[in-house]
Amino acid sequence: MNHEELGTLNIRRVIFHDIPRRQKGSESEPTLSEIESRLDSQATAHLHKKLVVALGSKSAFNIEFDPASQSPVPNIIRSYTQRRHGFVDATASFARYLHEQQTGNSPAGLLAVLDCATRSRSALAIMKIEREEGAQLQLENHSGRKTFDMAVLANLYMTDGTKLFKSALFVRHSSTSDEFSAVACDKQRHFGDADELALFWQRFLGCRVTEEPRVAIRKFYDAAVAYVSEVVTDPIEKDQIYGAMLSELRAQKKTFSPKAFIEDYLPSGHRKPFEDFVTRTHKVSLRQIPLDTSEIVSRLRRRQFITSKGASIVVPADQPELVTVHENAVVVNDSLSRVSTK
Amino acid sequence: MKERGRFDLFGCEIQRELQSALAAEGLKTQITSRAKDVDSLLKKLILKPSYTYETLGDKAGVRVVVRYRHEVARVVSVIRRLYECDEPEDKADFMDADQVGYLSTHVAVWLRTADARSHNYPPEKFRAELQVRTLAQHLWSEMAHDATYKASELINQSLTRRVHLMAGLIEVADNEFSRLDTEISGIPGMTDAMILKALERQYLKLTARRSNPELSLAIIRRLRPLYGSAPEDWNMHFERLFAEKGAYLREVFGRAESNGSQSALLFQPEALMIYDRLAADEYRLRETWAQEFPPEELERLANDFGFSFA
Repeated sequence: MNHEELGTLNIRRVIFHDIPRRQKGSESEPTLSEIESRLDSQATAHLHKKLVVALGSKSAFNIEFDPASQSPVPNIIRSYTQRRHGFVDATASFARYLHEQQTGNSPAGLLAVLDCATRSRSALAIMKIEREEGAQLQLENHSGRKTFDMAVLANLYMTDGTKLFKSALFVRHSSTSDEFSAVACDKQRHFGDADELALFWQRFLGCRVTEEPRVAIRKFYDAAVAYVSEVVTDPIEKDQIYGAMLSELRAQKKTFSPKAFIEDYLPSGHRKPFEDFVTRTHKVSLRQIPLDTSEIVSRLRRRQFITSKGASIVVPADQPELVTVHENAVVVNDSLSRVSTK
Repeated sequence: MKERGRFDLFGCEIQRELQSALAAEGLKTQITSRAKDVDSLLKKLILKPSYTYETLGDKAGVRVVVRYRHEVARVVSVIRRLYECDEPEDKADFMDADQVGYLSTHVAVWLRTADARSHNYPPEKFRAELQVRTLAQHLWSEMAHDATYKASELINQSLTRRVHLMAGLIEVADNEFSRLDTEISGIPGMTDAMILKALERQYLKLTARRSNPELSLAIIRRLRPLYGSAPEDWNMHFERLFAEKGAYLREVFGRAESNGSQSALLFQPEALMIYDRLAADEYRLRETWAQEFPPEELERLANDFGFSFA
């Protein structure tokens, strides 16, 4: 999903369903709209901005339908985007399933489903928006059918401060093939976390992260190392970039964001060239990745040699040939790039 | 006379088509159309008895007002491309060297027979008179119209002369504005104004909304260094950007026209320059922008273009 798809996202219809928190000992049911809410230009612009900010962000993930999933969401999306499913029915199914799947820890929220188009392709966006506990939303009667009034929603939930908990966008490539581009974001949890709560949104959507995280991390690492070796000429910059990357990949974090890495650690003159190098030359996505370093774990390790007089040599664990140890001498088989005093 | 409504529709059709064709040329124009009212047609038939109602050519009129004299020729060339037409008539050609007065270019047009709309508006019957003039010519024409132009015989010579002297002044001003426009673009220190002109050419293909030139120049001044060794020809640079991204930009502007935008900057020509830099090097753009302007404004515009800074 690139900026052109998000920039041209045209929101055609929206419907809101209220999903209450599930509480032990009390039965709760989602409050379902019977018709879509009327969209005005202000609400449409606001919803568009919310989607772009979340789904174009560093914390968004590319996802795909998981064939092993039990969730009804993928099939509903498939049939809806082929106009084989009504909008209200499809979204009510999402709301019921979301409510069923929620545990007592899941906060109350509004489920917004948006019928969209981008570059003449049919698309569906799903958002869970923050709703204050205890706030009562009333369905309004519109020509005998009930829906949430957009003006009320706009005042309460369409402000800049409103949190968009979870979001996803599915774009159907054509009406004849089953190909979709999809992206999702979960602001409450790290999308790639292994724990149940973190997997909740993926499971509800019936999706998985598009690329195996261990493969995506390895590809990023390879691309970054190639950039440092082939493009960066200043030894100090080489050292800084490489050091920062090792530190980030070895950190006790659950996800890694290439985009955030670029912004936080690369000197400004290298940001765009680095981005182009990894995305164009090495076809690496800048979307957030669950931090799984299992394929490069040995390359991230460091082996330290300490001599009897206190000299210390640190080398990548997967390059033992860099150091040759003799009885009375330790030889480093490399050229000097810099000397620092501590 | 019963057909006036159809001539009105015919004029609207020509107006709509011209509006989009001239915007695609990057021309800032004001276009109006009307079917001639019954009184006006009757008066014309009385004055020109050799004509009948059927043979009167300009029962629909479309007026195109441009900013500069040199733009008149560009409009005429678009008209020739779109319609069958008579030889354009430049009123200046009918004046002696020592005469001044009403200036405008008139051309009678009709649909080509291959045009599907010609079933509704048969060329032998539906003709429109197109008047192309500058803002300055339009000003003179409007101000002088009721007083003199159609009833010049009734006004004494001294008053008529004063009105025509103003036409002379207007012509001088028109020539001067046209020359200034060309010369300003050529002055080395006027790069920002030149960039703005180049951006406007593309911007007008996307929208007719008015912008704030002072803000445009301030933003262009700040962002120009991001281009490093500047493009040799700014027009070509943004022409290329539009050739590559025109369809996408049209969708973004179309969405914002119909659904609104949360950015104050989208309907400014330099939005295209900002988009150009966002796509080329978002990091440097954000750093440079923040030195002078509120970052949240850039972010709002970026969101319109589908970029997220979050």
